[in-house]
Amino acid sequence: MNFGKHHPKTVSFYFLGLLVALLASGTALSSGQKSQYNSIMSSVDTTLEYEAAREYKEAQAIWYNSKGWFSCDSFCQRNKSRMDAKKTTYDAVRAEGNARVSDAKAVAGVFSEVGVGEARDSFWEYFNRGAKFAKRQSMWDALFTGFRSMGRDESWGEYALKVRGREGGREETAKHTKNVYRRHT
Amino acid sequence: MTLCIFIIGLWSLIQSYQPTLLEGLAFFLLASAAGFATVVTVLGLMFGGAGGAVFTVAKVAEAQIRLQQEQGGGRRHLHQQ
Repeated sequence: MNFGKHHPKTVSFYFLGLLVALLASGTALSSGQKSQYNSIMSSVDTTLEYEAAREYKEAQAIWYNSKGWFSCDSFCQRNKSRMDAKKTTYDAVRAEGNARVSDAKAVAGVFSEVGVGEARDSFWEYFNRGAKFAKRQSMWDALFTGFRSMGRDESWGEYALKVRGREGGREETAKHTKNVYRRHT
Repeated sequence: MTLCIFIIGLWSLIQSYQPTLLEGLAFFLLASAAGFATVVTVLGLMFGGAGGAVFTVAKVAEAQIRLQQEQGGGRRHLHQQ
């Protein structure tokens, strides 16, 4: 309650966000908008973009295999100029595709279901990526906490034996518990 | 960090819709607020749940100790009689 009194702007921002996150789904497209949006989107040539990308990657691989560590001879220079030409073509095709997609989006509008849906998908993509990163960091943290329990005068071999011993001890305890259980039943 | 990356990427997403400046700013503000609220709620639930579990375990342990002390005291009382 005190936090709300001391930070009214933050709390209002939070509740506004909560309301938007729960209720906003964007305005529905009219049939005219929908047909215009679909016709522009279908004019985007994805095959052309895919081909341009493939040719650029091939040229890049050829240039990479012909160059030295710190040098590039005439053969390599020729491959490099070919790769640059393919990259220019690829960039142009991609820019053309992006411009068409942008035109289609402009027809729908940012507050439409398309815009809101894209923003929402983008958020959850980043959120899931962040969650995966946090999980990975926790795993590394747990691993290094285990390493830190290694004594100062202990070698890696001794430490490995100790860990193995601990595991062996656990196995022995489990066997003992099983035997006791068997005797009692 | 997720929220920061989302907010940075949001502007280019908005620009691809070619909105007016006012429209773009309004969408940016609302989407940022929604992202902020979602992250705060998820983190609040996560830490609140973990804190609640620890609190409950501590309370149960406290009650158990008190019970054991009372039983021990009772036995001592019986021995004295």
